Amino acid sequence: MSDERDLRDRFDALRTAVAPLEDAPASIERAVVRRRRRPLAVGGGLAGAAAVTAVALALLPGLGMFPGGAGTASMTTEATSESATDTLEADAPSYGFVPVEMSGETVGEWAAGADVLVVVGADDEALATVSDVPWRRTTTPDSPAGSFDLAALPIGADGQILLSTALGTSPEPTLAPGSDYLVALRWELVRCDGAAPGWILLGDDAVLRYADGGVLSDSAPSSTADAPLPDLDAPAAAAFVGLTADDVGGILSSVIDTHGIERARGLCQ
Amino acid sequence: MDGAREAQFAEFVDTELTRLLNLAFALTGNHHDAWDLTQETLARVGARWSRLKDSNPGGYAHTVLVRLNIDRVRRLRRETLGVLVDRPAPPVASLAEVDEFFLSVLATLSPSQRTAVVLRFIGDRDLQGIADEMGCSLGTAKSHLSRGMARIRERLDPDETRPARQGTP
Repeated sequence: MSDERDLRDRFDALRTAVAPLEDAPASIERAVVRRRRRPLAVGGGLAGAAAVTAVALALLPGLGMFPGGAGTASMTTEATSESATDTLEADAPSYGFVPVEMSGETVGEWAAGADVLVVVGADDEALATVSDVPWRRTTTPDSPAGSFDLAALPIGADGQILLSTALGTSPEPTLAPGSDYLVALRWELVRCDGAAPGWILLGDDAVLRYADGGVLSDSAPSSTADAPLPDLDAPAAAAFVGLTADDVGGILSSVIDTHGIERARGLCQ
Repeated sequence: MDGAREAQFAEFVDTELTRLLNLAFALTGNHHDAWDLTQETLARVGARWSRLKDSNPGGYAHTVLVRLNIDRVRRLRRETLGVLVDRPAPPVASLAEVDEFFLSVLATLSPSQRTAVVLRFIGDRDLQGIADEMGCSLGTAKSHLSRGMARIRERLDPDETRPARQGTP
Protein backbone atom coordinates (compact mmCIF):
# COMPACT_ATOMS: atom_id res chain seq x y z
CA MET A 1 0.00 0.00 0.00
CA SER A 2 1.44 3.40 -0.95
CA ASP A 3 2.13 6.02 1.68
CA GLU A 4 -0.53 8.29 0.20
CA ARG A 5 -3.09 5.52 0.35
CA ASP A 6 -2.06 4.71 3.89
CA LEU A 7 -2.44 8.36 4.82
CA ARG A 8 -5.90 8.60 3.27
CA ASP A 9 -6.95 5.40 5.00
CA ARG A 10 -5.88 6.83 8.33
CA PHE A 11 -7.92 9.96 7.71
CA ASP A 12 -10.88 7.94 6.48
CA ALA A 13 -10.78 5.89 9.66
CA LEU A 14 -10.98 9.12 11.64
CA ARG A 15 -14.19 10.12 9.86
CA THR A 16 -16.08 7.39 11.64
CA ALA A 17 -13.96 6.93 14.74
CA VAL A 18 -16.58 7.90 17.30
CA ALA A 19 -20.34 7.91 17.71
CA PRO A 20 -22.67 9.67 20.13
CA LEU A 21 -24.30 7.53 22.79
CA GLU A 22 -28.04 7.39 23.22
CA ASP A 23 -28.25 10.18 25.78
CA ALA A 24 -26.20 12.64 23.71
CA PRO A 25 -29.15 14.47 22.09
CA ALA A 26 -30.79 15.00 25.48
CA SER A 27 -27.56 16.44 26.78
CA ILE A 28 -27.48 18.86 23.86
CA GLU A 29 -31.09 19.85 24.51
CA ARG A 30 -30.19 20.74 28.08
CA ALA A 31 -27.19 22.74 26.85
CA VAL A 32 -29.43 24.69 24.47
CA VAL A 33 -31.80 25.54 27.31
CA ARG A 34 -28.90 26.69 29.50
CA ARG A 35 -27.55 28.86 26.70
CA ARG A 36 -30.93 30.44 25.97
CA ARG A 37 -31.20 31.43 29.62
CA ARG A 38 -27.75 32.97 29.55
CA PRO A 39 -27.52 36.69 28.74
CA LEU A 40 -25.89 37.48 25.42
CA ALA A 41 -23.21 39.55 27.08
CA VAL A 42 -22.44 40.01 30.73
CA GLY A 43 -20.76 42.99 32.23
CA GLY A 44 -23.78 45.23 32.40
CA GLY A 45 -22.61 47.94 30.09
CA LEU A 46 -23.12 46.16 26.83
CA ALA A 47 -26.43 46.93 25.30
CA GLY A 48 -26.56 44.75 22.26
CA ALA A 49 -24.94 42.64 19.62
CA ALA A 50 -23.23 45.60 17.99
CA ALA A 51 -21.51 46.47 21.23
CA VAL A 52 -20.49 42.86 21.72
CA THR A 53 -18.96 42.78 18.27
CA ALA A 54 -17.05 45.96 19.00
CA VAL A 55 -15.64 44.39 22.13
CA ALA A 56 -14.75 41.32 20.13
CA LEU A 57 -12.72 43.42 17.76
CA ALA A 58 -10.94 45.03 20.67
CA LEU A 59 -10.32 41.85 22.62
CA LEU A 60 -9.48 39.44 19.88
CA PRO A 61 -7.49 41.23 17.24
CA GLY A 62 -5.18 38.32 16.67
CA LEU A 63 -7.67 35.56 16.18
CA GLY A 64 -7.90 35.92 12.44
CA MET A 65 -11.66 35.60 12.55
CA PHE A 66 -12.52 38.38 10.19
CA PRO A 67 -12.50 37.23 6.59
CA GLY A 68 -13.31 39.99 4.21
CA GLY A 69 -15.69 38.12 1.93
CA ALA A 70 -19.16 39.60 1.88
CA GLY A 71 -20.69 36.15 1.77
CA THR A 72 -19.37 35.30 5.20
CA ALA A 73 -19.90 38.65 6.89
CA SER A 74 -22.98 37.64 8.81
CA MET A 75 -21.45 34.39 9.99
CA THR A 76 -18.27 36.14 11.04
CA THR A 77 -20.11 38.68 13.15
CA GLU A 78 -22.10 36.06 14.95
CA ALA A 79 -19.27 33.66 15.58
CA THR A 80 -17.01 36.47 16.73
CA SER A 81 -19.63 37.84 19.05
CA GLU A 82 -19.89 34.46 20.68
CA SER A 83 -16.14 34.39 21.20
CA ALA A 84 -16.24 37.77 22.87
CA THR A 85 -19.13 36.64 25.00
CA ASP A 86 -17.13 33.64 26.10
CA THR A 87 -14.16 35.80 26.94
CA LEU A 88 -16.31 38.13 28.99
CA GLU A 89 -18.24 35.42 30.73
CA ALA A 90 -15.22 33.27 31.41
CA ASP A 91 -17.62 30.76 32.92
CA ALA A 92 -16.64 27.73 30.94
CA PRO A 93 -13.89 25.66 32.49
CA SER A 94 -10.91 25.02 30.27
CA TYR A 95 -10.61 21.35 29.75
CA GLY A 96 -7.61 19.29 28.89
CA PHE A 97 -6.95 19.55 25.22
CA VAL A 98 -3.94 17.64 24.06
CA PRO A 99 -0.83 19.69 24.79
CA VAL A 100 -0.30 22.51 22.35
CA GLU A 101 3.00 24.25 22.13
CA MET A 102 3.20 28.00 21.86
CA SER A 103 3.64 29.42 18.42
CA GLY A 104 5.02 32.74 19.61
CA GLU A 105 2.39 34.43 17.52
CA THR A 106 1.00 36.80 20.15
CA VAL A 107 2.41 39.37 22.54
CA GLY A 108 0.92 37.36 25.39
CA GLU A 109 2.88 34.29 24.38
CA TRP A 110 6.11 36.25 24.20
CA ALA A 111 5.40 37.75 27.61
CA ALA A 112 4.52 34.44 29.23
CA GLY A 113 6.88 32.16 27.39
CA ALA A 114 10.09 33.88 26.34
CA ASP A 115 13.10 34.05 28.64
CA VAL A 116 15.44 36.03 26.41
CA LEU A 117 15.24 38.01 23.20
CA VAL A 118 18.25 37.87 20.95
CA VAL A 119 19.21 39.62 17.75
CA VAL A 120 20.97 37.20 15.46
CA GLY A 121 22.57 37.56 12.08
CA ALA A 122 22.55 34.55 9.81
CA ASP A 123 25.82 34.06 8.00
CA ASP A 124 26.91 31.50 5.48
CA GLU A 125 28.28 29.23 8.16
CA ALA A 126 26.18 26.86 10.17
CA LEU A 127 25.59 29.48 12.84
CA ALA A 128 23.52 32.58 13.39
CA THR A 129 25.68 34.90 15.46
CA VAL A 130 24.08 36.59 18.44
CA SER A 131 24.81 40.30 18.16
CA ASP A 132 22.64 41.55 21.00
CA VAL A 133 20.59 40.26 23.94
CA PRO A 134 18.19 43.16 24.41
CA TRP A 135 15.98 41.53 27.02
CA ARG A 136 16.13 38.84 29.68
CA ARG A 137 13.32 37.78 31.97
CA THR A 138 14.23 38.92 35.44
CA THR A 139 12.05 36.59 37.46
CA THR A 140 12.98 33.17 36.22
CA PRO A 141 13.49 30.77 39.08
CA ASP A 142 13.99 27.80 36.81
CA SER A 143 15.65 29.55 33.91
CA PRO A 144 19.24 30.72 33.53
CA ALA A 145 18.17 33.75 31.50
CA GLY A 146 20.47 35.96 33.52
CA SER A 147 23.46 33.95 32.46
CA PHE A 148 22.42 33.41 28.87
CA ASP A 149 25.68 33.12 27.04
CA LEU A 150 24.98 31.53 23.68
CA ALA A 151 27.21 33.28 21.19
CA ALA A 152 25.38 31.80 18.24
CA LEU A 153 22.36 29.70 17.34
CA PRO A 154 23.00 26.58 15.29
CA ILE A 155 21.33 26.65 11.89
CA GLY A 156 20.92 23.93 9.29
CA ALA A 157 21.76 23.79 5.62
CA ASP A 158 18.40 25.29 4.68
CA GLY A 159 18.66 28.07 7.24
CA GLN A 160 16.42 26.42 9.81
CA ILE A 161 17.19 27.11 13.46
CA LEU A 162 18.39 23.88 15.01
CA LEU A 163 16.75 24.50 18.37
CA SER A 164 13.69 22.33 18.71
CA THR A 165 10.38 23.68 19.94
CA ALA A 166 8.82 22.46 23.19
CA LEU A 167 7.41 19.27 21.73
CA GLY A 168 10.75 18.41 20.21
CA THR A 169 9.63 19.27 16.71
CA SER A 170 11.75 21.10 14.20
CA PRO A 171 11.02 24.82 13.94
CA GLU A 172 9.60 25.98 10.64
CA PRO A 173 11.17 29.42 10.14
CA THR A 174 14.35 29.66 8.12
CA LEU A 175 16.95 32.39 8.33
CA ALA A 176 18.20 33.96 5.12
CA PRO A 177 21.96 34.48 4.95
CA GLY A 178 22.94 38.09 5.47
CA SER A 179 19.74 39.01 7.28
CA ASP A 180 19.15 39.82 10.94
CA TYR A 181 16.34 38.56 13.13
CA LEU A 182 14.83 39.22 16.53
CA VAL A 183 14.23 35.81 18.12
CA ALA A 184 12.40 34.81 21.30
CA LEU A 185 14.04 31.91 23.13
CA ARG A 186 12.92 29.94 26.14
CA TRP A 187 14.73 27.74 28.63
CA GLU A 188 12.95 24.40 28.76
CA LEU A 189 13.71 22.45 31.88
CA VAL A 190 11.69 19.36 30.98
CA ARG A 191 11.65 18.58 27.28
CA CYS A 192 8.76 16.69 25.77
CA ASP A 193 11.16 14.59 23.73
CA GLY A 194 13.22 13.68 26.77
CA ALA A 195 16.19 15.79 25.74
CA ALA A 196 18.36 17.53 28.34
CA PRO A 197 17.27 20.98 29.56
CA GLY A 198 18.21 23.66 27.11
CA TRP A 199 17.28 26.66 25.03
CA ILE A 200 14.47 26.24 22.56
CA LEU A 201 12.77 28.47 20.07
CA LEU A 202 9.58 29.79 21.68
CA GLY A 203 7.60 28.78 18.60
CA ASP A 204 7.41 28.91 14.86
CA ASP A 205 6.29 32.55 14.92
CA ALA A 206 8.92 33.71 17.39
CA VAL A 207 11.31 34.90 14.67
CA LEU A 208 10.91 38.43 13.30
CA ARG A 209 12.99 40.05 10.56
CA TYR A 210 15.11 42.85 11.96
CA ALA A 211 16.86 45.51 9.88
CA ASP A 212 18.06 49.09 10.30
CA GLY A 213 17.40 48.93 14.01
CA GLY A 214 13.78 47.92 13.76
CA VAL A 215 11.44 44.92 13.41
CA LEU A 216 10.28 44.33 9.86
CA SER A 217 6.91 42.79 9.16
CA ASP A 218 4.26 42.55 6.50
CA SER A 219 1.77 43.45 9.20
CA ALA A 220 0.56 46.99 9.72
CA PRO A 221 1.99 48.46 12.92
CA SER A 222 -0.35 48.26 15.88
CA SER A 223 1.81 50.02 18.45
CA THR A 224 4.76 52.33 18.91
CA ALA A 225 7.19 52.71 21.74
CA ASP A 226 5.08 55.54 23.15
CA ALA A 227 1.67 53.98 22.49
CA PRO A 228 -0.40 52.13 25.09
CA LEU A 229 0.61 48.56 25.63
CA PRO A 230 -0.57 46.08 22.99
CA ASP A 231 -3.28 43.59 23.78
CA LEU A 232 -2.08 40.19 24.88
CA ASP A 233 -3.73 38.67 21.84
CA ALA A 234 -2.14 41.13 19.42
CA PRO A 235 0.14 39.43 16.90
CA ALA A 236 3.74 40.10 17.92
CA ALA A 237 4.67 40.83 14.31
CA ALA A 238 2.20 43.71 14.20
CA ALA A 239 2.74 44.93 17.75
CA PHE A 240 6.51 45.15 17.40
CA VAL A 241 6.91 46.29 13.78
CA GLY A 242 9.25 49.27 13.48
CA LEU A 243 10.42 49.04 17.10
CA THR A 244 14.00 48.57 18.19
CA ALA A 245 14.92 45.39 20.00
CA ASP A 246 15.33 47.38 23.22
CA ASP A 247 11.86 48.86 22.84
CA VAL A 248 10.40 45.39 22.29
CA GLY A 249 12.10 44.26 25.48
CA GLY A 250 10.73 47.28 27.31
CA ILE A 251 7.23 46.52 26.11
CA LEU A 252 7.53 42.90 27.22
CA SER A 253 8.61 43.98 30.70
CA SER A 254 5.73 46.46 30.90
CA VAL A 255 3.22 43.90 29.68
CA ILE A 256 4.45 41.41 32.29
CA ASP A 257 4.27 43.98 35.08
CA THR A 258 0.95 45.48 34.02
CA HIS A 259 -0.87 42.18 33.65
CA GLY A 260 1.00 40.36 36.41
CA ILE A 261 1.98 37.64 33.98
CA GLU A 262 3.80 34.69 35.43
CA ARG A 263 6.19 32.64 33.41
CA ALA A 264 4.24 29.88 31.65
CA ARG A 265 4.85 26.42 32.98
CA GLY A 266 6.74 24.12 30.68
CA LEU A 267 4.59 22.17 28.28
CA CYS A 268 5.79 18.83 29.60
CA GLN A 269 6.44 19.71 33.23
CA MET B 1 -38.65 27.14 20.83
CA ASP B 2 -42.11 25.99 19.89
CA GLY B 3 -42.89 22.35 19.24
CA ALA B 4 -42.37 22.45 15.49
CA ARG B 5 -39.02 24.18 15.74
CA GLU B 6 -37.95 21.86 18.53
CA ALA B 7 -38.70 18.93 16.29
CA GLN B 8 -36.78 20.54 13.44
CA PHE B 9 -33.78 21.12 15.64
CA ALA B 10 -33.93 17.59 17.02
CA GLU B 11 -33.90 16.31 13.45
CA PHE B 12 -30.95 18.54 12.67
CA VAL B 13 -29.07 17.20 15.68
CA ASP B 14 -29.89 13.67 14.64
CA THR B 15 -28.50 14.33 11.15
CA GLU B 16 -25.39 16.32 12.05
CA LEU B 17 -24.29 15.07 15.44
CA THR B 18 -22.10 12.20 14.29
CA ARG B 19 -20.44 14.23 11.54
CA LEU B 20 -19.66 17.13 13.88
CA LEU B 21 -18.49 14.82 16.64
CA ASN B 22 -16.01 13.09 14.34
CA LEU B 23 -14.75 16.42 13.05
CA ALA B 24 -14.25 17.54 16.65
CA PHE B 25 -12.53 14.27 17.50
CA ALA B 26 -10.08 14.73 14.62
CA LEU B 27 -9.39 18.27 15.82
CA THR B 28 -8.91 17.43 19.48
CA GLY B 29 -7.94 13.78 19.64
CA ASN B 30 -10.02 12.81 22.66
CA HIS B 31 -13.62 12.12 23.57
CA HIS B 32 -13.97 14.76 26.27
CA ASP B 33 -12.88 17.74 24.22
CA ALA B 34 -14.63 16.45 21.12
CA TRP B 35 -17.86 16.24 23.07
CA ASP B 36 -17.44 19.64 24.72
CA LEU B 37 -16.79 21.22 21.35
CA THR B 38 -19.71 19.48 19.67
CA GLN B 39 -22.14 20.20 22.47
CA GLU B 40 -21.15 23.86 22.68
CA THR B 41 -21.50 24.20 18.91
CA LEU B 42 -24.94 22.64 18.81
CA ALA B 43 -26.04 24.62 21.85
CA ARG B 44 -25.18 27.80 19.98
CA VAL B 45 -26.98 26.62 16.88
CA GLY B 46 -29.99 25.59 18.94
CA ALA B 47 -30.11 28.90 20.77
CA ARG B 48 -30.53 30.72 17.48
CA TRP B 49 -32.36 28.03 15.59
CA SER B 50 -35.27 30.26 14.60
CA ARG B 51 -32.89 32.43 12.60
CA LEU B 52 -30.72 29.65 11.23
CA LYS B 53 -33.17 26.95 10.30
CA ASP B 54 -33.93 28.35 6.85
CA SER B 55 -30.32 29.13 5.90
CA ASN B 56 -27.49 26.64 6.12
CA PRO B 57 -27.35 25.51 9.73
CA GLY B 58 -25.01 22.62 8.91
CA GLY B 59 -22.44 24.92 7.36
CA TYR B 60 -22.84 27.36 10.20
CA ALA B 61 -22.31 24.64 12.78
CA HIS B 62 -19.21 23.42 10.95
CA THR B 63 -17.65 26.89 10.97
CA VAL B 64 -18.59 27.60 14.57
CA LEU B 65 -17.02 24.33 15.68
CA VAL B 66 -13.77 25.05 13.85
CA ARG B 67 -13.52 28.58 15.22
CA LEU B 68 -14.52 27.56 18.72
CA ASN B 69 -11.68 25.09 18.68
CA ILE B 70 -9.15 27.70 17.57
CA ASP B 71 -10.53 30.06 20.19
CA ARG B 72 -10.29 27.51 22.98
CA VAL B 73 -6.83 26.31 22.03
CA ARG B 74 -5.59 29.88 22.09
CA ARG B 75 -7.24 30.47 25.45
CA LEU B 76 -5.62 27.35 26.81
CA ARG B 77 -2.25 28.60 25.72
CA ARG B 78 -2.70 31.73 27.77
CA GLU B 79 -3.60 29.72 30.82
CA THR B 80 -1.63 26.88 32.23
CA LEU B 81 -1.39 24.45 29.40
CA GLY B 82 -3.40 21.27 29.50
CA VAL B 83 -4.98 21.56 32.92
CA LEU B 84 -7.14 18.54 33.53
CA VAL B 85 -10.13 18.56 35.80
CA ASP B 86 -12.48 15.78 36.77
CA ARG B 87 -15.37 15.54 34.39
CA PRO B 88 -18.14 13.07 33.87
CA ALA B 89 -17.64 10.65 31.03
CA PRO B 90 -18.90 12.17 27.76
CA PRO B 91 -21.68 10.39 25.86
CA VAL B 92 -19.25 9.29 23.19
CA ALA B 93 -18.13 5.82 22.13
CA SER B 94 -15.31 4.68 19.92
CA LEU B 95 -16.53 2.69 16.94
CA ALA B 96 -13.24 0.96 16.35
CA GLU B 97 -9.83 0.79 17.92
CA VAL B 98 -8.49 4.33 17.81
CA ASP B 99 -5.37 4.91 15.76
CA GLU B 100 -3.45 6.40 18.67
CA PHE B 101 -0.26 6.65 16.66
CA PHE B 102 -1.90 8.78 14.00
CA LEU B 103 -3.55 10.96 16.66
CA SER B 104 -0.15 11.48 18.26
CA VAL B 105 1.18 12.55 14.87
CA LEU B 106 -1.68 15.03 14.46
CA ALA B 107 -0.97 16.33 17.96
CA THR B 108 2.46 17.49 16.85
CA LEU B 109 0.94 19.93 14.36
CA SER B 110 0.30 23.53 15.26
CA PRO B 111 -3.40 24.28 15.84
CA SER B 112 -3.66 26.05 12.50
CA GLN B 113 -1.95 23.23 10.64
CA ARG B 114 -4.13 20.62 12.27
CA THR B 115 -7.26 22.59 11.51
CA ALA B 116 -6.31 22.97 7.86
CA VAL B 117 -5.44 19.31 7.48
CA VAL B 118 -8.59 18.10 9.21
CA LEU B 119 -10.79 20.43 7.16
CA ARG B 120 -9.20 19.09 3.99
CA PHE B 121 -9.33 15.39 4.75
CA ILE B 122 -12.21 15.06 7.19
CA GLY B 123 -14.30 18.07 6.22
CA ASP B 124 -13.65 17.66 2.47
CA ARG B 125 -13.02 21.38 2.10
CA ASP B 126 -11.00 22.83 -0.76
CA LEU B 127 -8.45 25.55 -0.11
CA GLN B 128 -11.00 28.33 -0.36
CA GLY B 129 -13.29 26.49 2.02
CA ILE B 130 -10.44 26.04 4.49
CA ALA B 131 -9.58 29.74 4.27
CA ASP B 132 -13.22 30.73 4.77
CA GLU B 133 -13.71 28.51 7.79
CA MET B 134 -10.43 29.49 9.42
CA GLY B 135 -10.95 33.15 8.60
CA CYS B 136 -7.62 33.55 6.86
CA SER B 137 -6.30 34.25 3.38
CA LEU B 138 -6.02 31.60 0.69
CA GLY B 139 -2.23 31.78 0.86
CA THR B 140 -2.20 31.31 4.61
CA ALA B 141 -4.55 28.33 4.37
CA LYS B 142 -2.34 26.81 1.70
CA SER B 143 0.71 27.32 3.87
CA HIS B 144 -0.93 25.73 6.93
CA LEU B 145 -2.08 22.77 4.85
CA SER B 146 1.23 22.14 3.11
CA ARG B 147 3.27 22.52 6.30
CA GLY B 148 0.89 20.28 8.17
CA MET B 149 1.04 17.61 5.50
CA ALA B 150 4.82 17.84 5.34
CA ARG B 151 5.03 17.31 9.07
CA ILE B 152 2.66 14.36 8.93
CA ARG B 153 4.62 12.74 6.12
CA GLU B 154 7.82 13.32 8.03
CA ARG B 155 6.35 11.52 11.04
CA LEU B 156 4.93 8.72 8.91
CA ASP B 157 8.23 8.20 7.18
CA PRO B 158 8.29 4.54 6.16
CA ASP B 159 11.87 4.26 7.35
CA GLU B 160 10.75 4.90 10.88
CA THR B 161 9.46 2.10 13.02
CA ARG B 162 5.81 2.69 13.69
CA PRO B 163 2.76 0.65 14.49
CA ALA B 164 0.66 -0.31 11.51
CA ARG B 165 -2.76 1.25 11.25
CA GLN B 166 -5.51 -0.97 12.59
CA GLY B 167 -6.88 -3.07 9.80
CA THR B 168 -4.04 -2.30 7.44
CA PRO B 169 -2.70 -5.47 5.86
